[in-house]
Amino acid sequence: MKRMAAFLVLALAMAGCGGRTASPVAEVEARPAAEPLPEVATRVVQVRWQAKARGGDLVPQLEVRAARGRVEPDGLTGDLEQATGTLYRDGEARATFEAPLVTANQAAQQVVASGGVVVRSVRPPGITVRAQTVTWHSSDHRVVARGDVWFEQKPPAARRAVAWGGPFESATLNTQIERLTIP
Amino acid sequence: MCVMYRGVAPYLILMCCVAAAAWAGQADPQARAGQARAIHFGDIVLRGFERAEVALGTSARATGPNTTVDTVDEARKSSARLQAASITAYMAPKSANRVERVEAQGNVRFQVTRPASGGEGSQVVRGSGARAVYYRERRLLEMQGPITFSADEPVPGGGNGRQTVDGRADSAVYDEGKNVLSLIGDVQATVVTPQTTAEGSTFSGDRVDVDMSVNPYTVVISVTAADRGRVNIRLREPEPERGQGAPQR
Repeated sequence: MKRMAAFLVLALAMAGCGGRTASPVAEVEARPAAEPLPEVATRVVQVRWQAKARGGDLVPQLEVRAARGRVEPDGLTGDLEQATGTLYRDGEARATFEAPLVTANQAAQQVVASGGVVVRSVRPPGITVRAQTVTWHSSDHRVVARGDVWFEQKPPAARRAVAWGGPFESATLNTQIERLTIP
Repeated sequence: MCVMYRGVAPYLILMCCVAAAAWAGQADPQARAGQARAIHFGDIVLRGFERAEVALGTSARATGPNTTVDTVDEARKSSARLQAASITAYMAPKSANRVERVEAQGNVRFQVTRPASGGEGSQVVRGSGARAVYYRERRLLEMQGPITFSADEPVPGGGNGRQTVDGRADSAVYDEGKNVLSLIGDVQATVVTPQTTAEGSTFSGDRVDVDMSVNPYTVVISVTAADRGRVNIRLREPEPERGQGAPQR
């Protein structure tokens, strides 16, 4: 007997339409009724920010995905656990990050990642920053890393790191994390 | 006016050539745990700074009264330390791991330790100035001052004897490619060797060029006025040979 797979996607929240959006989503995979149904296989909470580009188009500003989390009804503010995310500038992905806890506050244009954060550059690639806490101020494209801050630059073609440093109490970086200021 | 003086150069050159030779320190990310805060930028290491600005792949600027660059040249078995109020390193274009130029400003101090020229013991060279720039691509070190310099090393085969030189000048340039050191502007130096008195020999001039591509080194002292160049060599009185003047048995 020929079976057809069906997928049921349950949207927990959809916020914003044509403007900044935040969309915590839980995805539930349903198997054919003849087979034992597993418990919920996947649940993803997702927050997205968008901003108007110079031409007026909406471009991505922030994306955060997490296995668990709580998002406000407006979908723009929330706490996410075991999160991964992407920081954008001018619509282009510039850095990705991983953190045990991420708090996004769109009203404050601020994202705080804590619990041991790893930030990796996208353009240019090969730069990694590690810190206890990392705060991204999206309004001025500034990243502030605090607590046991280390950085490393290892271009993809390099056999080993060509620059690295730490530990620092804090460091301020741009969104591309290629410029660091250490007080 | 030009005065040739041989045998002084080994001490005079140390101020600059060691700094030029010792920028090859290597970073090891695997060994970084537990270290004091530092920035490894290409093949130099910055420490002791209060503030730093790093443009990865381009430049690194560190400031603070004890900003330090440490390098180790394992091939030459030498180490060097440069300290200044501000040190900026610039990466070579199209290179992510090789520093092209290092600029130091404000209370510049350096110390280099390397094997003595005679192979016994170590040479220790110290110097200071207001500003220093090392052009790695051109293999050229420029120091502006007034600068002071000193060097000390054991005499080869000389037991406990030591050779020293110290002095000052307005500026200095070391051409690593040609292996020539130029001390420029109101050069004053004192050299002490086992052959001189304890006060040593003194010389002065407007410019002193030390050609280290020949052996023995050649030192050319140039002056613009007759009363501005002086060489005062004070040799120790030769000791009587063994047996001379001794009672015959």
